[in-house]
Order: sequence, then structure tokens, then C-alpha cells
Amino acid sequence: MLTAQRNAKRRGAHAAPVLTLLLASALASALAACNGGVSSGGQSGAGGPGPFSPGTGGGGGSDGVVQSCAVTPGIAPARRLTRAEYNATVRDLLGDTSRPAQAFPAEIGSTTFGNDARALDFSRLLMEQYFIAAQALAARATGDATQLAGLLGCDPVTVGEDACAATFVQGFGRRAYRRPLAVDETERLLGVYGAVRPASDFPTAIAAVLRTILQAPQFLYRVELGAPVPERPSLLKLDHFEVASRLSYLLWGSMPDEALLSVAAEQRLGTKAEVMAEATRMLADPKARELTAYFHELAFKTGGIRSLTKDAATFPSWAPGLGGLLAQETARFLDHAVWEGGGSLTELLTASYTFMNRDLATFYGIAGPTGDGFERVELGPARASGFMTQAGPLALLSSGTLTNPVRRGYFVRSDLLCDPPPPPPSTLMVVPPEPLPGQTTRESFAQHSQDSACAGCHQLLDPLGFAFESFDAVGLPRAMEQGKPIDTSGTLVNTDADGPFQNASELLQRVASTERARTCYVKHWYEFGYGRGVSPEDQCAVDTLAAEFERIGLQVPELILALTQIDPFLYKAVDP
Amino acid sequence: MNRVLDRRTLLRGAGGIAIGLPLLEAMVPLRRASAQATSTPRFIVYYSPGGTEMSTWRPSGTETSFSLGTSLSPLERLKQHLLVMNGLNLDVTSQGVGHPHAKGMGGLLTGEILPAGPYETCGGKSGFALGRSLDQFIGDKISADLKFKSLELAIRWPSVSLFNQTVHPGNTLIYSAPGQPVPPQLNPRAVFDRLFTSLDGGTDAERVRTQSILDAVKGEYSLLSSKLGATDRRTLEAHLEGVREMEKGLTQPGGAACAVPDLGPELDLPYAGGTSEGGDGFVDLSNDEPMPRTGKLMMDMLVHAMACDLTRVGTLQWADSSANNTFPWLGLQDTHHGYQHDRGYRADAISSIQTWYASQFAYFLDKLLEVQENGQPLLDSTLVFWVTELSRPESHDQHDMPLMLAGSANGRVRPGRWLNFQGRSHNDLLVAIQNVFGIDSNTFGRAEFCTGALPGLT
Repeated sequence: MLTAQRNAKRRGAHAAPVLTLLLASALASALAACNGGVSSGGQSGAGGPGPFSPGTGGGGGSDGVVQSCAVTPGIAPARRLTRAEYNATVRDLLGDTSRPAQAFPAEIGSTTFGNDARALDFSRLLMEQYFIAAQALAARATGDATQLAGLLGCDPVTVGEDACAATFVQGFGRRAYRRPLAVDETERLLGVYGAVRPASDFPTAIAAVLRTILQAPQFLYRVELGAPVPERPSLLKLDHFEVASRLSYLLWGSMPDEALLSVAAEQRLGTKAEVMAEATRMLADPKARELTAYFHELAFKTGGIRSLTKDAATFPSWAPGLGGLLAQETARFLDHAVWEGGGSLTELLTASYTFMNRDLATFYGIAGPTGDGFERVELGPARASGFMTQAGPLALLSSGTLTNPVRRGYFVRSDLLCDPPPPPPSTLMVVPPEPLPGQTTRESFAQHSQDSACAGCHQLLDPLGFAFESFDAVGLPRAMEQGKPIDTSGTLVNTDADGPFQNASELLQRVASTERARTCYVKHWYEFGYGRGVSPEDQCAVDTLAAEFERIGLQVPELILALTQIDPFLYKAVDP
Repeated sequence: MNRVLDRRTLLRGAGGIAIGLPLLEAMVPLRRASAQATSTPRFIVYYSPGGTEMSTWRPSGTETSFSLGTSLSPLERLKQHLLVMNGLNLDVTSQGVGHPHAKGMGGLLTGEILPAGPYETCGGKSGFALGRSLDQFIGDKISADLKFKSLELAIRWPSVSLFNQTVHPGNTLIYSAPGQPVPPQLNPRAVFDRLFTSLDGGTDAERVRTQSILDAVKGEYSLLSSKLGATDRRTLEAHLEGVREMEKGLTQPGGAACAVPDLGPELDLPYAGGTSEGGDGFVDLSNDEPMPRTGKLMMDMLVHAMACDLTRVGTLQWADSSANNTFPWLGLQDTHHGYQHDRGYRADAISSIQTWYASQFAYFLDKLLEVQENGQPLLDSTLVFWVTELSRPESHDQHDMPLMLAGSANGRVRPGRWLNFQGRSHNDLLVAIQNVFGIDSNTFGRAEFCTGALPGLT
């Protein structure tokens, strides 16, 4: 179901603005001489707004997202396929699911998402891995007659080998380079075929062409040459095929499909409205759900849940393999909340349901699911508040057999609010206290609030972590510790919705209501989607998207679409 | 042209006897008579994390008549091959941005500081070190014409991901250029294949095919980069340079008569790789338990690679400054970092860990002693540099660093001594080492931390 339709069903009266946005954009682009979001006759003098003026239309606003500051496209460096993108791309290009990039060295980049285009490794080791992977992929793709026939798209026996090689280069090359090949590119690849064929056989020569393609810059990098923008000499506009790659890697983490390449060939990716239409189609593809799941795993740092091990002597309920089930619970919850539930960030943080199978239900002590399959389980708002009250994340944010309120509080402050306090001074020895007999964990951290040297930072963290003390080190609920009732009350400070909370659910509701949390979530998507850490030059784009996110009721699928509706998606700065 | 034998033609030595270990003299290849090949020394870096309990590390006695500290007892019988040093400081860490663990890692082999940057180190946000590491300079000098200029092998790396970053200043020791970390290899089977098989398959036909492919690939990078803006042009040119580096490995003779070692089925067992998830304190037993086996394989292969003249420079890195691994075979359940200070400093555990790393160092030296080359053990033409990024883990002190050298680099270093310096910068040791390998400069890394080559190595 199209996002717009689903939204219409869910939001009733709110359905109109989404459609209005699309219509207004279509009109605006028709009037703006097909130059997309560029406003002609813009004010470029001192003191005026930047090259892209705020929207001029009423109703749904101008092309794309309404901008109240100058969202200026910066230099967009060529992005190399990450390991995850390489694996997905060869899966879609060749049907190969062997995930060869697992052998590649890890990405260097500094963001959570490992796709910062400005931090790349060019070591010989990596080049050897590209070579080896290309060799193996080509061998598998040409090793058997059926495989080869599927790859070629022609029959060398019927049309002749050379003709079939040419057909292959054009057809497969277009998919691999994500655009039609230029004459010199075709010639170079046929040159490889011609050099290799005489001393070998047809499949080997085709494999050699394939090995060349898989190591070429047009495959490994998303190179964006762009075209000059007449009224804006400092900018370049991406061409339709370059936009197609942006869309497919943003929404699917992989290469464009045939439908998208056709739309690009028809030059129908030049305006924000056209981009929105295609993005909407793509969002409904299961690959978008997979990509979103991957995003959440990185943004919420839940990847380690599946390999969690806990001491069985201390936690008899912890069975081997539980980590895998807990990872599934959190992944299924996040996926359902975004795509089948209400779709909002609020739901991710405050929903009172989750997913369990029989083994998980046993672990949690909940009646209900009876098989291996996962079912939705209603837990009620007192017990559950989104993914952060699930055992997986909480067990991960613990230290072995003890909870770790500082780590849990730091996660909320840093990863949900994007407001991490500075680390402790390097001269300070940080030693988590062993709880004394009769002392609760909260009591054992008293020094953090009593000592003025600690309190400044720790008041930002500890109270948030204490809210989760009603969950033990494996994430199961507990009401008592050391014979005393657990105190989970506290105060949220340093946000735009400060105030008291009695427990984790109330804390998370408060967090979900903050503008900080909204902007933080948007920042994560921006860094992931644009492959760059947020720096001052990105702030306007992030603020613009955050305002849009609020306007659309914190709807995650719509936020993903909105990423394509700001000027940096279609334009980039000239880089002399 | 000489070829490295591929896996299918594993040689098993005279009379069909499998080459186990120790490596027998008969199996060391007879190289073409060349004074160069037999007298060129080797350089190896051996890293273990986090400093140690200095009271059980520090020797006692005099310069030429000393006993090692108790935590180094496995090395007592090999001390005539060691040059133990006290009194050197990591002065370079007095500047720059970042936690001492990270600044120590960054400065150890580069003699350079960490700048401000985007990587959270729990002591400031740093970038990668501003210098190229010593081993890379030495590799240019003595190993550039071999199949590999240098080899970087690591075990249990990264020991934890920090803030979701797998590669960061806290776990990077080797730099190919300022700011450019070199990824280590982790998978013993992949290391074996890379060393002892030929990337291009080894036959003439495959060689020719590979050349056609790589020529076309290089052509694409050249042509495309000329059409791009400055940033992207640099990117594609750097990539092209990487491809050319790879090609050198294809055309260098790689120990043609070298017997490919039989390392047994262990080569394909689960190995101690790294953890890309989890954060501080995340225990990963499946990666910790195979550490001893993985380390042995890596050390064996590094020795073979040197003996076969596949390279003359190598690094063996155990974990990293996060030291988030446990030692189940020693009965130590907490992480190394936990014993450093996370749950209170534990001198006894730290000493036990040091003793284990010393036993691994002893194994490594034994292997280098077993290989005979022109009537002398390989260790005699090698210089091994054992490094760590702190002295005292409980306080992150970086004065009086526990550093030592082993081997004599063909007589250019005189081991069997304990040297006591009075607070010299370790940059001066890096200067002295580069001089041993014929690099004549009297500075290394950041000049302000250099006063000249450290005396006393000879």
C-alpha cells in the first residue's frame, strides 16, 4: 500500500496535506521552467537569503520541504559502497548471496553508520579484497551454463560470441554502472574481452569483463558529475541516473531496479515532485523495510544483542541462544511500529506492546505465545514503553551481572537526545562501585550526586539510568533490590520538556515529547542518508527536516521521504 | 619468473615428511647468491595492551648482569637476546587531544600527536595520528622490492567497538601516511592464502588475464578522475595508487623455492577476530577463547614470511588499548581493562596477563631462533620491538615505559643488556631504530620531542 494511502486511512483529516504537498509541488515545478527547486531571480546580494529562497506557494508550500533557512548544498564527495551496500548490490546485480564484503577491512569513518565519504581506506589489502571478491563472483556467475545464460541476455551460439559479448557489455554494464555506458567505456570492456578470448574460452572472457566491471570506479563509487546550473554557477544539478542511485542507496541500500532506471532514462527524476513519486513507490518495497531495520540497528546500537552471553549461574533464566531471540524481538517491534503500527517515533519509544515467541515468553514469565513464531503481546503502559524497556537493549546496557545506570542514562542522553556530556577527566579512575550488602545500586552511586565535581555531568545521566533500575542486568522486571523497593523516580533536565518522572515509562514519554529527541532522530537519518557527520554547514538542513518531521506528526516513513525533498538531494556545490 | 606455489602443490619437504614446527634448516630456501638478501635485517613490532605492573616487570641487577622481573619469567632463559629498557617516556602524549590510551597508541610508532577530530576517546575527540609509522619507513628502505613491503597481523582486534566505530585512534598502531590507518589482517586462513598463494592464480595464462583486467581498471580510474572536482579526483587517485600497490605484489618474486608450511587443520578453525558491536565491557568469549591458537598461527606465519623473504617488516598486534578481551585459559573472567582499573586495579591479574604475553613473546623468539640462515639464527638478523601504550595502567602513566628490543639486526644492536635512561623521550628510541636500518635522520615524528638518537643500542 502506498504510504499516502496508508496515512490517509490512519490520519483521516490529516491526509489532505500530504496530497496537497504533491500537487502544489507539481504545479510549482511546471511554473518554474523545469528547474526543480531552484527559484529563479533569487536574491544573491548581501543580507538576502541564500540561493534557495523560502517557499513561495501557499497550501502545501513550495517544491519539497518548506525551508526557513538557506539549505545550501555543500560539496558532496563520491561515496564508495560500504560493505553492506556491496553485499546488497551484488545480490541484486548477480543474485549472489555469499556476502563477499564480510572479508573486507572495516570502514574507517567516524559516524555510527560507517559510511562517511570523507574517511576512506585505500590500503593494498582492501584492493586485494576487491580483486578476490570480483574473481569469485565472476567465477560463480559464469561457471555454469544456466547461470551464464541468465547473465548474458543473449545466446552466443545463435547470434555469435562477439555480438553477444557486446550485448552483454551494454546491458549488464548499464545495470552495474547504474546508467548507460559511454562509448569509451564500452570499448574498454570489449577490449578486455578481446584480449582474453583468444587464449581462453567464451565464459572465461565474459568473466574477465565482469571482474573489470566489479573493480571499476563506476561500480564501487557513486560518482556524481552533475551538470552546471545556469543561474547558479556555484552549483551542479545531479542528472537523472545520479538521482536514481541516490534514491536506491538511500531507500534500499542497494542499486536501482529496472523500473527506476527506466524512469531515469525517461528523464523523470528532475524535480522534487518526480523524486517524491518514485521514492514513494520504492518505500513500499520490502527492501526499504530491511534498510530501515539496518538503520535502527546502527542508530540504537542493538547489533550486539544477538551475541549477548550472561552468566547462567547468576541468571538461571538465561538460556543459550536467548540473545538471538531478544534481538528478533526488538527488530520485529521496531519494524512493526514503523510500517504497520502508528509509524511515529513516539511509538518506538512509548508503545506498550512487543513481540515474543514461546521461549521468550517463558523467559519473560508472560503467558501467551505457544509456538516458535513471534506474536504481538500487549504488556500495558506500566510494564512497557517502546524498545527501551525490552530485555535486549537493557541487558546490553548492563555490566555482566550488574545493571549499569550510567551506561543506560548515557544511552538516553547521547543516542536518543544527541546531547552527550563530556567524558570524565582522563586523570580520573572510573570504578563502578560494588554494591555493599543492603545497599541498592542507586544508593551505591550516591557520590555522583553528592560530590560537586561529579554532579555537574552525572545529574544529566544517572537519574535517567535509575529509571531503568526496575529492570535487572538481563532486562527482566524487578521491584526489590537488597530487600528494599527500587526507587525509579527522577527529573529530566537540560531539554525543552524538563520535569519529573516516576519510572521508565514516564521518562520515555517525556523524552519522546522533547524537540531534542525529534532533532536527534532526524540527525541520525541525515548522517545515514547523506553519508556525512553533521557539521555546522549541515545544521540548516537538519533543522529544516526536524521542523518537517514535527509537522508530519513524527512519522518515520514520511521522514525518510522528506530526506529527498531538500535541495542537497538534487544539487551539490561545484568543487574546483 | 618465479611464482609462489599455490595451495594445490603444497611441498612436504625431503622424503615427503610434512613440515611441522620447528622449521628445519633444510627447508629454508636457498636464495640466489646475494649478499643483500642474507645480510638485510628484519624489523618486527610486537604489541600487547595497557602497560603492566611495573614492580614485576622491572629487572634487577646491572646493565650486563641482570634478572628479569617475575612477570617476565618465561623470557629469563632468553635474556641474552633482549635489550630491556627503563626510563623512556612517551613525551609525545603530552600534547594533542585524546585519552592517554589513544594518544599512546597513536604516538608509539609515529612519534606524533593525535589532533582534535571526530573520534570519541573518552578523553576528548581525536583524529588519527599526524605521522607515518616507523615500520612503514623501514619497509620502504629494506622491503620495498619484496612481495609485501610489510605485514600487519592482529589477534582479537578490535577488542571492542567504541561508540560504534570499529577503526579509531585507540586501536590503530600502523599508519601508511599521516591520518591513514593500515587495516590489520585477522583471519589466519586469509593470511595464509595471501602469503603463500598468488592473487592471480599463478599460471601464465591467469597472469596475462589479470594484467588485461587491471590495465582496464586502472584506465577507468585515470580517465574518470580527470573529469572530477578536486576532492573526488584525490579519492580516485588514491584508489589507483592502491591498485598499483596491489600489482607490485603480483610481479614480485615471492619465495619461489619456499616451502609452503603445513599449519594443520587449525588454520581453518574459528579464530579470535574482533568485535564490532557491544561497547565497553561487552564480553565475547567466542572471540577470546581462540586467542592462543590464533596467535600461534600468526606468529608461525610471520616467521615463515620472513624466512621465505616474502617481507622483511611485520607487526603482530594483540588486541588494542581498549583491552576488552578476557583470558579464560588463565582463569581470568573479567576483561583486561577490568583488571587495569574498571573494577579496581588488580596487580596480580595484570602480572599474570603480562606473564602470558611474555610466554608468547618467548615462543616467537624461539621460532626466530630455530630458522637458520647462512649459519646463524634468523633472530640474529632481526630486530623485534615489544611495545605497549602505557606504563602503569591504573593511572594511565606514560613515563618509564616498559619497552624492550630483541635480536641484534646483524650485529647493529647488542642485546643481553638492561639500559636505564633518565627520562628520555621515546622518539629518540625511534630515531635510533631507524638509524639501525640505514635511515640516517636524527629526528623521527614530531621534532620537538627528539633530542637525537638514543645511545646505547650498540
